[in-house]
Amino acid sequence: MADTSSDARWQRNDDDEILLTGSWTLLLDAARRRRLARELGGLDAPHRYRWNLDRLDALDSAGARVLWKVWGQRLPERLECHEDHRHWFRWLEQTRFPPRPNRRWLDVAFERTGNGALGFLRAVGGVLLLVGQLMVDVAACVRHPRAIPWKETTATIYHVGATSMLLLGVVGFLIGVVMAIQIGMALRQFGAATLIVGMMGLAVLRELGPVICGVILAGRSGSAMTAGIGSMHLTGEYDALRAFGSSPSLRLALPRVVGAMITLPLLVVWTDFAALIGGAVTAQMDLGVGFRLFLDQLPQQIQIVNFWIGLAKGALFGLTIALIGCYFGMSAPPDTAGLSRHTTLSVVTSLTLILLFDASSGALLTHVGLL
Amino acid sequence: MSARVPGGDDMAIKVQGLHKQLGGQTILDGLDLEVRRGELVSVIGASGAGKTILLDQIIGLLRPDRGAIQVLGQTINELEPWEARLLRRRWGVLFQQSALFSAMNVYDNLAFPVRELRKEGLRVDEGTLREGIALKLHMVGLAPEDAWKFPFELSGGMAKRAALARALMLEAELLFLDEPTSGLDPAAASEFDTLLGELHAELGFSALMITHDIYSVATLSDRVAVLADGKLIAAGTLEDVTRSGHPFIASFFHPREGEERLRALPAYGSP
Repeated sequence: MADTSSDARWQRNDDDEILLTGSWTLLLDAARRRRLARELGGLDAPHRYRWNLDRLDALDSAGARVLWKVWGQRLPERLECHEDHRHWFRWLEQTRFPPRPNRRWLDVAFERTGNGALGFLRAVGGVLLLVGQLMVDVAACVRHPRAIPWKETTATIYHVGATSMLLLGVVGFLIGVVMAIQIGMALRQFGAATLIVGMMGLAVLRELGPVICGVILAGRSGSAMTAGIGSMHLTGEYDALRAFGSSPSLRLALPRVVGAMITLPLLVVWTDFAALIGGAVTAQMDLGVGFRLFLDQLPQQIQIVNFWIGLAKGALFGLTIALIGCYFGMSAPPDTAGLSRHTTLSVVTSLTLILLFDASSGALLTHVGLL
Repeated sequence: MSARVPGGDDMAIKVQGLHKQLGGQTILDGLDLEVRRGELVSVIGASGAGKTILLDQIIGLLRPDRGAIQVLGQTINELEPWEARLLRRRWGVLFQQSALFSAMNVYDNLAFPVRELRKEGLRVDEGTLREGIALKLHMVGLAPEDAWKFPFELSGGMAKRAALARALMLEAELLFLDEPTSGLDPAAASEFDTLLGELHAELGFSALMITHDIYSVATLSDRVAVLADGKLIAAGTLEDVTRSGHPFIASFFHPREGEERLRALPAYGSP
């Protein structure tokens, strides 16, 4: 530590000797380092002098480097120096600089673009491979029922399902309330308040219930899957699993995929319920459509098939979230930045796919006239 | 280096009456420990004896229940945050798992402590930083090209060296070494001990080493402190400590199974 009482100083004696005194610990003292470098750098032919470092109190690497530069990267012929300080110069003499990777921006741009494209293809291929692997795993489970990972599957159902219920209930209810208020305002103008039952029912059962579930679960559980599996790369647990001959896809991916495909439809039912209750409560308070009337009208105005479509979508979204979450977790590099990048990618990809599937299924089912 | 600063306190670490309970269990029960300036002290003890807990308290990651800890003349846990930052700058820690930042390459790992200083207004320009990193890489025996590698590309020994270089970046006066040779093969462990010994002799830092490795203890320690039952049961030179005859000490330095067979090998003793 720089001692303020013994400032780093130098002086020229008799035009022959240069005497250094004080504490030349300059690493944390940029101003003094620059001043000394400038002053000593002003000497012409520094090797002409006898350098006396005997009376230095301390010398750190930065102090040694200042001198080393002044000397033109070689020891002066006449140097008096503590053995304790001399090792710096021995080290400096042998030090080579890390070569800077010298790259042009065009190379970097090409590399980035190429890596991006390849990364996309690799992800598509990787997900397809995982699907194939999961099918093999399912076949293995059918042939050897003892291999079925019950514990992991039920754990997934608990973590994805049970712990999400409060959140989904509240969000579903609030969305039901908001929708009923907005639709009610429009319907009141036509005096067709009871139509709210059909509109709410269709929107909630077919679109909103599954999409709310999917979006929230992609953020909540998809990210947890990626981070959970990905961090196993950091701790070496992933390799440990493989070393025991256990298949990561069977033990990690399959239970999550199956668990999510079971849980999501159930959560869709729960969210549908919460949203419809929210709508019914609002309809009674805001529009005067009684609670009983709402419930009576619901099965008459809505075909039950819409409910089943919602459940099927839920299962599809569950498959998507778990598949994407597991893929990005299993392919995560073993470093913290890679893990956070993969977690982000996982959530973004799941969300995009969910909305894409939702839009295309809506267009397909309606316009092709299937239902 | 600090050993040569005049007027400094001659104690690097002074721990008095340290008590610590964790999870209802008494880990440390009135522990006293001293490390003089320029000295390398090894702390040995059975697994679970509280060595790492002790280290965590000295470097301020964990608060003691009772007792005083002085490091480089300052009392930990009584410092203002800025004083603590100044103090932390004067020591380096080599963690057991190396704890290199996995998202950064070796260069950026070494640059990290210096770049952190910029947030406190201490500007170290890139040129100086680059020279400093080159020097430190050389000092720990890494090649300049290793600067661009990422931690997962390094072998255990190289990761330890890189972590040591990072600990030394700010010219540490005091080094904490947590199991420096754990996870290294015998040859790499021996090389690392040699490196630590050379750096200790040349840089003159004080050091507190926690270890299980009797060869590290024998190679490096000026003094040895033995931790058992929450206290230091012995402290002194290796020779003094082993004379005390406590069963733990006897078992710790007892030749391991297979020692006899190893001694009979023709390869034994050859480099």
